[in-house]
This record gives sequence, structure tokens and C-alpha cells, in this order.
Amino acid sequence: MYVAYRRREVPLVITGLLGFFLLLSYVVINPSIAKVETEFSSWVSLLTAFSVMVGAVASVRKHAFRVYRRTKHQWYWSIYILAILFTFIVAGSIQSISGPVCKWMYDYMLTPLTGATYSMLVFYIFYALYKSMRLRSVDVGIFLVALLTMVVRNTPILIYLYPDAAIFGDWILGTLYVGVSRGVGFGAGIAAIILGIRVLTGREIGYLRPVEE
Amino acid sequence: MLEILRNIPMLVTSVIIFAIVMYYMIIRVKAGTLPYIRKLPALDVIKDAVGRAVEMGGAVMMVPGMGSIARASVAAYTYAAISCLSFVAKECAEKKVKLIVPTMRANVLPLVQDAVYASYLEAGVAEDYNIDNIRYLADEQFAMTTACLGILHREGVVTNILIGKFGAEALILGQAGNDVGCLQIGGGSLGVVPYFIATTDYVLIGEEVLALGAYLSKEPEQIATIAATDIIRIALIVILLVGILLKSYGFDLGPLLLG
Repeated sequence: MYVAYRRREVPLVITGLLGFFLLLSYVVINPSIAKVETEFSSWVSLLTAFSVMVGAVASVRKHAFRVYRRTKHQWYWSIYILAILFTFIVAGSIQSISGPVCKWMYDYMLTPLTGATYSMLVFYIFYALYKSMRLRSVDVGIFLVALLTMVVRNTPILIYLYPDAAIFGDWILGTLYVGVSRGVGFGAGIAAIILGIRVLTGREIGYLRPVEE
Repeated sequence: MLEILRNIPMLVTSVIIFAIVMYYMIIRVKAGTLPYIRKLPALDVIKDAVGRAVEMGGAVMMVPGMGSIARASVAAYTYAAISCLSFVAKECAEKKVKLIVPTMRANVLPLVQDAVYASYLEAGVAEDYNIDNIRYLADEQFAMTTACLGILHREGVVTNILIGKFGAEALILGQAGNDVGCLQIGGGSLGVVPYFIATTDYVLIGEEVLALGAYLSKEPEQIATIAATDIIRIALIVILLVGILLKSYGFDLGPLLLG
């Protein structure tokens, strides 16, 4: 069935018009335009909040089906997720989001788990370092020299033994790294603007669902 | 004239100039002059990576970054990742491979769903599209990371594509993918490139990520936009060099141009 509001052109036109309007608000200094721009920014916050609800509904749907179908090795974890989700929603609705139940869940459940996951990085960094030290090609050789220099530069006992490593390490950080990162950032900035123009002019449409006739 | 230029912010000026160059290149392409674009091995390998999933009977996981589309600084990477996702989804649809797409931002979820569905539709297998494989896992960085680790270990992922805006989790995801023997393609902003170099098989750096959509589409008009990026970059490098030379010899154009 043909549905006009589901045409791809509708979101493209909205994106283009709003994008160019916000761009215009940079150039034309006018209180009315500034007010409308602030209003649009509030809409973004509102739409983002709404999209969290869409995400929550999608998540509940998925886990409810898992429980209903008794998906092997997963359904009991889905019950756990749903229980946590609904406890948070109910407690937050009754006591507010900063109430004791929500705060307890945040401080004693989410924060320690987040810290635990973050701490895994230490092991992964060490493992990545070990892997990077395997000399396979000239490129990796250059990488290895820079890496070992930085290891020496940042280790107090080694820098005491090899003080020249600090000069070389500072040169890598201050000259090579800064130069390369500025260059890459420069290129990425140009590419981001071109991508923005493509989105605003409707040339980047991969994210839009086509109309099924 | 200079007074007007001084009142227009640099961003708007650059958008106008870039748009003019972009449309000039598109007109040239329409007239039949195809620009040369260097090959990006990380993108050319995507087809092989999906083929590997077919041979091994495994799944493909693509994480389109942890970025939102509501923040200007990261939205470009997210849009670029979704463009790449469309291509990956089409390959998976044609080869009947399971594609899992975890998302961290709720506002990215509908875009990802539509991009994947559009690809399945384009491949003529819309009935194979499974909305349960497009997953909104969490809006918190490490909760999302942990959930992705679970998927990597439980669901037989053999190809792991990490393209978009990532932070510290890039190393955890890349290393976990490495542990389970995935073929991995990584791409993101400069901060995470070292992580990807250490853990993934193919890496996209900086602007390569942002040119994804145009590169993968293979459409002459889209390729023209990449050529426009190159022209602008060369022009800006020349301007920078001229500026350095002029400044070195005592000519300062800054006050004249910027006020």
C-alpha cells in the first residue's frame, strides 16, 4: 500500500531544511532565529529521550520472547535483565531517579561492574603490547622502536638507566605524533564536512527504509 | 567584500566552498571524467570476510560504534558506519549469513534497523531479515562492551567489523574478537587507531572511515565526492605552505583576512 508519509523524501527534506536552517543561524545574527534554534535543540533532547523509550521497548520485547521461548542458556538471564529494568522504572517513578533504591542500584551494581569491565583494559593493553612486539615486517619494526622508546620513557627505573630515551621519546610525542595526528585530524575534518553536505543534500540515504510498493 | 567574509564563520565558509568543489566534481563525472581513487584494502576485504563466514558457518557481527547521532562531533562517524553497515548487510543477505548488529545509542537503533532492512530488501530476501539480530544492548559504554563480548563468545561470530566512534572499549572488543579467532576490520577516529592496529587484521584511519559510504557505493557521483575531498585537502596544504612561507618572510595575512 502506498503511504505518503513513509516516502524517503519526507525525512530527507526535514533533514535538509533543518540542517541548512541551523547552518544559517551561524551567519544571520537575529533574536528570532536564535530562539527557533534553541527550540530545535530542545527538540533534539526530547527526541533522544523518546528514542531511549523505543530502545527499551525493543529490548523488553526481545527478552520477553527469550523467556517465553525458553531460549537455551539465555532465558534466565533475560528474566534478570527484565527484573532489574522494571525495578529501576518502578522505583524511579515512585521515588525519583535519585531516590534510595535507584541510587543503591547505581552505586552498588552498575558502578562496580563498570569498574570491573574497565579494569580488564589493563590486561588487554598488556596483551596487545606483547602481540605488537612480534617483529613481522618493516612497518612493525618501526612501530616496535617507537613502542619500546615510549615504554622506557614512561618507566622511572628505565629512564634512570637510559636518560637519552627521554629526548627521543619527547621527539616522538611532540613532533611525530603531533604532526601525524594534526594531519589525520585535518583530513577527517574535511571528510566530515563533505559527509555532512552529502547527508544534508540527500545523497547519503543508506539509513532510510525504502517504501514497499 | 573582506568585511562580509570576516562576519561569516569559518565553518559556513568552508561548507560553501566544499559544496561548490563537490558539485563541480559531480558535474565533471557526469560529463564522463572518472577520478582515480586509491584502493582501501580494509573495505575491499569485506566481501571476503563475509565469504569466510559462509565457509565456516558462522555469523558476522558489526558494531557501528558507540556514538550517537545527536552529537555533532560523533554523528559523522556514526553515519559513515551505517553506510558501511548497508553494504555488509547486503553481502550477508545475498550469502545468507547471520548478521548481528549491537547498538549502544537508542537513537541509532531505528536507523540501523532501516539500513539493514533496506539492504535485505535490495538483495531480494526481505523475508530473511530478523529484527532480533539488531540489538539495543545498553546505553552505557562498558555494559554494551560486556554484552558484545558475550555475543562474540556465544554466537559463533567469525567476522567482527568495528567501524564508527569508539573509545577504550575498542581494545577490549578487538582483543576479544582476536581471542575467538575472528577476522577483524576496525576503523575509527585517531584515538583508537593504535588499539585497532594492535588487535585487528585491517584498519581504516580517520577520513577513510568517513569516505566509506561513497567508496562502497561505487557510484560515480559518490566517488566524485571523495575526489572533491582530495582536491580540497591538496588546496589547503598548498595554502598552508604558502602561509608558512609568507609568514617566514615577514608577510602576515592573518590580520587582513581574519580581522
